[in-house]
Amino acid sequence: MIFFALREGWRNFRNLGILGLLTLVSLAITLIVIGISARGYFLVEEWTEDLLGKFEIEAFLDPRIDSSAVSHLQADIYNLSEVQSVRFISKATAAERFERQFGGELLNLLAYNPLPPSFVVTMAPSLDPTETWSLTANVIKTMKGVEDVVYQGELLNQVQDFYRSAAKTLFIIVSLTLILSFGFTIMTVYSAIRSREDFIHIVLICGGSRAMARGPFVAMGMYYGIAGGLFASASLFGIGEILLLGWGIVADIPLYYPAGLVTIGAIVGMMGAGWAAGRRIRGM
Amino acid sequence: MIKILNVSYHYPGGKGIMNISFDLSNREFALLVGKTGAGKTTLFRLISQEIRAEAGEVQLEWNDNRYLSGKLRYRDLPKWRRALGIVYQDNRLLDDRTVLENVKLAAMCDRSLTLNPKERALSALGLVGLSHKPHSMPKELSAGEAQRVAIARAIVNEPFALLADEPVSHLDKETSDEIISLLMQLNNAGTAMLIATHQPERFELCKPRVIRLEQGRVIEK
Repeated sequence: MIFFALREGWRNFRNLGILGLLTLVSLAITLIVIGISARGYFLVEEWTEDLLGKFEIEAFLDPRIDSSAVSHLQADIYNLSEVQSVRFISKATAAERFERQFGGELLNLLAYNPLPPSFVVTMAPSLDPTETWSLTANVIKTMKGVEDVVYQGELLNQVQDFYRSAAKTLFIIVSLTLILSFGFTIMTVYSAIRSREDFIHIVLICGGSRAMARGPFVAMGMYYGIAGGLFASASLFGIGEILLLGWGIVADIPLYYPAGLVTIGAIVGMMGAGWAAGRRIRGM
Repeated sequence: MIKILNVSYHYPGGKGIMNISFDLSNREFALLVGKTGAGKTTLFRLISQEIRAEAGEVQLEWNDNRYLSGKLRYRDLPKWRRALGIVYQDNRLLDDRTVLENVKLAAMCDRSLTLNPKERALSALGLVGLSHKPHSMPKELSAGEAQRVAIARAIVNEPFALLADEPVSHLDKETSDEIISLLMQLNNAGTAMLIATHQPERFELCKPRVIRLEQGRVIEK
């Protein structure tokens, strides 16, 4: 039965002409949009993680704190969940950094080092950095020996808002494209099936089952999905290489992308064709 | 045996068939005679369950099987249809495949028979005298040959009855006689025949039973 469906599906795939071309184009456009959106989503995620990796919480300590208290405090902070690393900046190191950034004149003028020792805390990636960072900063603030805690809260909020809105937009684009494409695929396959009603009629009137009549169209949908996936992959690589290389959107597409697009295409094609064929065959 | 029991069916325009009853015994050769619009094709569609009767029942009995259309479950419909061979006036061969592939497609619908579909298709083509043209395309055949292929497709699953809707109406006398002779051979071999025609005189040699339809009613059986 499977070989029959695959063979007859291939025959339909080759013979459908303009309707087949429409199905192929609709599937390919969908897969291109999905491919670009997915790539865009992962790039936004990478950029966000990269940016968040550069953010740090800085905890300023009491200048009179002794080295044993520093060690304990460092361990306590490190043990907080979501904390990835804790680096101690002594008064001397803080002064060196200050001199590197602003020159030594000011410190020389003061004739003493007013800069406090501090911890630079880096955070592990999290789903809700604003919340996590705020909670962690508040906990550190309450620890004995800590005088003040600062981090770029507003900027963090903006980055997170950007990430969320980009993810939401891409999700909406992909969902709408999928719905439209699914509808269009069903319409074109439905028309394609109308043009092959002679085949369906003969199979059913000769005593074939509905599955036998429907199988070739499901296989045909799969072939269109695979062809659409290959076409979309080639287009994405082509766009990446020729047009958008500088944009970094589709350049360097990983090799699992074509496999993913072909699989999605085959699933959408099979589902659309199976549904359309089922509706067409019902009652025959 | 095919039993038609008080069957009625109406099309939206008003035409159809009304309260028709008759039997077709195994091995019988019967003609369903009537003018265009008398209800012959509607009756065939009811027997093959392409449409369902509004009233009455169709009953099929062959070997140890007995099915009533009113109680027919969808999963039994393929078995019902395999028990009947159907030949259309316009033969309805699929143009995108060879003669052998057309017959093999029908053979593949019944996997319960012992020989494989290709062997059965070749055997059916042999019975209708077309074993020399398995790889011809339908467009390369004469009208008579195309009708023979349609008959081969109808008998490939060894049905107990063959329903033929105007099988010779568009053929010349000589070709028509060939087809009728083939139908007689199949009948002699044990297949019941129900032939719809508006030219009963062409079948005189078969000495058929005549069921006459007029305006959707049986007026002679």
